[in-house]
Amino acid sequence: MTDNNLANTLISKVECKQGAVRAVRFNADGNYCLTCGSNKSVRLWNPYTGALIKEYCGHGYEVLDADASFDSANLCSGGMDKCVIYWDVAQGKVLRKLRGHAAQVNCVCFSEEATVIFSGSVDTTVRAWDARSHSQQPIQVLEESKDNVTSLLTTDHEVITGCLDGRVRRYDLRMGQLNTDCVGNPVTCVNLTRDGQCILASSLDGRLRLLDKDTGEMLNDYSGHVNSKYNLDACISSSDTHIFSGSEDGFIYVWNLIDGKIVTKLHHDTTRAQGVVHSLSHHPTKPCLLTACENKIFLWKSQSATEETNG
Amino acid sequence: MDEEEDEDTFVTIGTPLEPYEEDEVIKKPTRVQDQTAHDSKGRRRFHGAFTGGFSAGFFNTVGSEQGWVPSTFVSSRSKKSDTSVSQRPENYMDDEDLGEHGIAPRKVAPTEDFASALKKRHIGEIVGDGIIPGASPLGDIIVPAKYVQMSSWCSTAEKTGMEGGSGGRAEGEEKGKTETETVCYCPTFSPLEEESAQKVYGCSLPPENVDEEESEEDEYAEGITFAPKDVNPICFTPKDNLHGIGYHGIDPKTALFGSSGHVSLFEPATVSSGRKKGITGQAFGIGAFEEEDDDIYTVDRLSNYDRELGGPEKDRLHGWTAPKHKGDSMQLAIGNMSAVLKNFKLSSIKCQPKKIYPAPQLPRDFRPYHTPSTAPGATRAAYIPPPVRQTLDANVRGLMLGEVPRMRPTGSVFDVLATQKMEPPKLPQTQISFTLGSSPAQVKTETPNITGQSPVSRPHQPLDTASPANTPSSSTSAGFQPFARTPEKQARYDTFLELRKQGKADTYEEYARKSLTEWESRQEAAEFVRAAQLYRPLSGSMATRFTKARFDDTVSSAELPEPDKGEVSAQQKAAEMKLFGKLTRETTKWRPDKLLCKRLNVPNPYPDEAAEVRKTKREKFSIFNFLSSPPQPESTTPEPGQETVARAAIEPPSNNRTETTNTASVKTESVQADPAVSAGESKTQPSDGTRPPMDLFKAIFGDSSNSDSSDSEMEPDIALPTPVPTDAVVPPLPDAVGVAEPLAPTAASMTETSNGTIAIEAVAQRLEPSVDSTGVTTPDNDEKASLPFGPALPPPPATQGTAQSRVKTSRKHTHKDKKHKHKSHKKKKSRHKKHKKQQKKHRTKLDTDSDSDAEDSDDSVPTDTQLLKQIAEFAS
Repeated sequence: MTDNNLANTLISKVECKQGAVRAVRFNADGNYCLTCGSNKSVRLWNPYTGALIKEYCGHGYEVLDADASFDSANLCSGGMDKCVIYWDVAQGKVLRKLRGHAAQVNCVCFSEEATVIFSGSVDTTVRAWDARSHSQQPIQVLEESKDNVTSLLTTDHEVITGCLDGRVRRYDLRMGQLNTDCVGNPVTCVNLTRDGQCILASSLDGRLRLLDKDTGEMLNDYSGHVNSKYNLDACISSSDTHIFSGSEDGFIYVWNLIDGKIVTKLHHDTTRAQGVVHSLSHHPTKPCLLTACENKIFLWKSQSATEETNG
Repeated sequence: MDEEEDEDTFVTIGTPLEPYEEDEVIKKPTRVQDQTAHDSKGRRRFHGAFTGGFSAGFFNTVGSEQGWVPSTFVSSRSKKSDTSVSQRPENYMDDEDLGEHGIAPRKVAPTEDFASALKKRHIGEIVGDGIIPGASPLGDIIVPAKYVQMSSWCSTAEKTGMEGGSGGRAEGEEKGKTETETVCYCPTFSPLEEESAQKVYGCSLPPENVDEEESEEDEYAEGITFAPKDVNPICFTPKDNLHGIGYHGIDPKTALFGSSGHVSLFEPATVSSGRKKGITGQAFGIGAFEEEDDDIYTVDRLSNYDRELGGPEKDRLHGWTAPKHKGDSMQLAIGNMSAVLKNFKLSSIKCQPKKIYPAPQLPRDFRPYHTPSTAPGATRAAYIPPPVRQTLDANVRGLMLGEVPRMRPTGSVFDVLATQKMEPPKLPQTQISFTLGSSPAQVKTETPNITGQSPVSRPHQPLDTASPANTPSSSTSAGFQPFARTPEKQARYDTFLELRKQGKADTYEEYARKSLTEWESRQEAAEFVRAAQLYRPLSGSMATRFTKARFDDTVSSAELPEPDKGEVSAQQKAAEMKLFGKLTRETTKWRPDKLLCKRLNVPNPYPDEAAEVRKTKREKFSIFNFLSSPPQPESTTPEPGQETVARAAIEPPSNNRTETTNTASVKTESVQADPAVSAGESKTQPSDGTRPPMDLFKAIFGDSSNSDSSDSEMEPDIALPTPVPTDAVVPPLPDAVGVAEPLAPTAASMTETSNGTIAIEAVAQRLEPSVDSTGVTTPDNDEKASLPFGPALPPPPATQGTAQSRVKTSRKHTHKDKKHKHKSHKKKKSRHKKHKKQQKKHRTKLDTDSDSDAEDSDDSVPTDTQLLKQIAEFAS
């Protein structure tokens, strides 16, 4: 049952030709994906055919993260040039270039209705930018972090950040309160399960922790992969059954969410002996995974899905 | 007969006037203007408009009776026409013009210049000159210089190349020199002269061609012979400058225009390019005998420029006789000099060259600064201070005499140790044991160091260098004197510190009462307590902010040290033990921006406060920005119903992280403690961590309209400046019970009905701290009674919540420090910690009624057993 729903078969590789691929992100419906390159560009792909749809140039330095709005009409991206850029997808134009961060922007994220862009930065702040107005000033600056904000996600009323000070912060707008959960080790990536009840936090001690969002209790603990140096992504499968994480040994580690055991390891043949699989993104509904390693992106699907496509 | 005779004998001179006829009409005499001049043939001489013109030609016309007849050009085989049909001026002249008095007399005569000698002689004859009568012998010899200069003789002779014995000059000699020479000559007129001479009337035309000119110039060349020079003419050049003998400056002619004359640009320098036809040369001022000036309008050419790299060396000095080739060698320079200075001879005796001693070679790492070697450690041991006369105090003198030094009581354990060790007094060791408060280990290490030092200078050192780390108990303001302005007060402060060190701080008031009144002494004691907290030695306060380096700076690849277990906070410890949940969770109040809520379609959780937050954000460069209060900790459940419960939990110190402690009340608590601080602290401690909230400042500095809108949360804050008697706005604190009634409606009206209770609660809470503080009998809290009058105390350790809130504050500020780089903020941070620690101390004393809910404090590191205990509690 699990294997049928698990994206464990390599379907295709796409060489992005934009330097190192810093991040790969599915769009909201999972039909397209975005890659952020070290050549200052963001590219929009059809990962299934490997077709490059559009390229977005405007960043002054490497792009580190990007996100697509729910309607795929706009993109946001942030990079080492300290800017957050709000794009128009169809025209490929820069709608707004938001400057304000004092250091590189690690992560960007749209709010649910793409009205606000959140960006987390090395300057320890999270800034909320208004995508609806032409203001160059952020709506609010969340300054609670003590260190580099590495990861960021939003729900309809929450902003969850992972920070290198070892805390996962959950800003609850409804309650007007901030829950800070100490993980103890620098947090590189936060994720939310599809049911919105659990936070998956990966940290630099080589562990992933599944925390209960409401109480902060740890529900499960996943380890076995290598994560000590890099800002590696992790994600949860669309059916909340598996946990994927990149690793510094060229594998994607897949754990069963419930029992916490490694189900499989997805090998990436890289040019180097040990390439780092640092970014990955799971399809929002289907068992389909996109990973990024070096200058390529890899598309993984489940066994059944490949049979379907082949047959 | 007589008459006839008479007539015959008279001599008549002149022509007699015609006798008048009787009836003749007398002619009018012709007037001057009517008189006309006539020439010899009776022709009118002058005519024309103003009767000034020439009479030329035939009856004032030209040529003949028919007028001017054009000459025709006829040329046949037999008689070839002269190509140069000359229209000469003479053609237009009649014989009158050519006559003696005409404009072109045909008489051969020397021109004025040439006739000068003749004339002079003539004049001399008339006048009779000088010593030698009748003749002026010098006049024959000396011809005016003007003539010689101006004559074209020189150039002619040059051109004809008179050389050798014919009286010509040597080739290389310059013109200038020859000009002043006196030359004898004897001109003989040749018959050719008449023909070749071309006369010029009026303004001279430009010379037609070269040949003509040259022939003109050569007019004397053929017939003139010169006597050979038998004597070398001595030329005297007057010295008209201040240069040394033989010195010449740069000749601007050669330097600027090149050595040869003017030639056209780009052409290679031809030796003598004959002048072209056409009009060249000067327009005015040059007569036939004048020499042309040198080029005025310089034509530059490329050959003047050195276009080769390393080509033949040109003489770039242009006549300058300055020392040449300075760089090469002395010998060469001297040789050049001798060549220049003709009348000098090179000395055969060589001068000894001056011996030059080069400066010593500096070591590579030499720096031209003097750094006093006060660095600690190895350099210090080597440094031997020069013997300085010192004022010896009694101890030192006693030491020198071999006495056992008497120790001042410090209350330290080491004092006792030191005295015990010292029992057998040996001279070298006694110095060491003199170190007050320093550990025995330190004493040992210092022993080898002092060998080379005089025993006198040494004993001072341990006192000065005793680091605060070694003397943890000493809060002596070594070198830090907050009351230095008033020495008596400083002295009292010192004694206070002494007493405090001995744990007898309470006795200070009695001590001070000798010189001060009771109230004064109490005030002063309070002040000293604060001062002692504030003005710790700098190194001590800084030490709290730094840790020791674990690795040497030179080590490049130091592995990250394992995080010190002792420093790990409780949360991290819990996280390590996988005790996620309440232990690792921290919940604080967070105010989302109003706009953010709007954008995310979320109702604003703090509908009233959002505006306030927004407002403060707007004021970008306001002073309040620097005073902005950090977000206060908030309980997980902001329901108003729980506040009453929470309030009860305030009086005993409790952990508000785990418990449902309301921070609104906590805030009021801390705020209530503040007036004492804020009233008195302003001068001693401007940047205290527990600053009054924003609203106090606003109430004072800002306009009062903002503070009027009171809501449940802000109410205590607004009520803060209560000591200020503004009864109309805020009623004074002591009548709060009565006030609660009138205040409540406003609060309730401003907020929702559910919050109305909060408003009243908040007012009621304001009362409590004062009751609390009076109940507690700490020396600190005693001071509260006199809060409006003088410098006050740090805030009392009212609750754990306050302490924690301050922790938050400090954290918040550290965060802001990154942006503002405000030093005062940083200081503040350290002070916070101090306060906190002290409060903790107090609490350990005071907490007799220990609450069962009292959990681990925020900063104290819980031991594992404690943690386990807590877990057990949670489990239950």
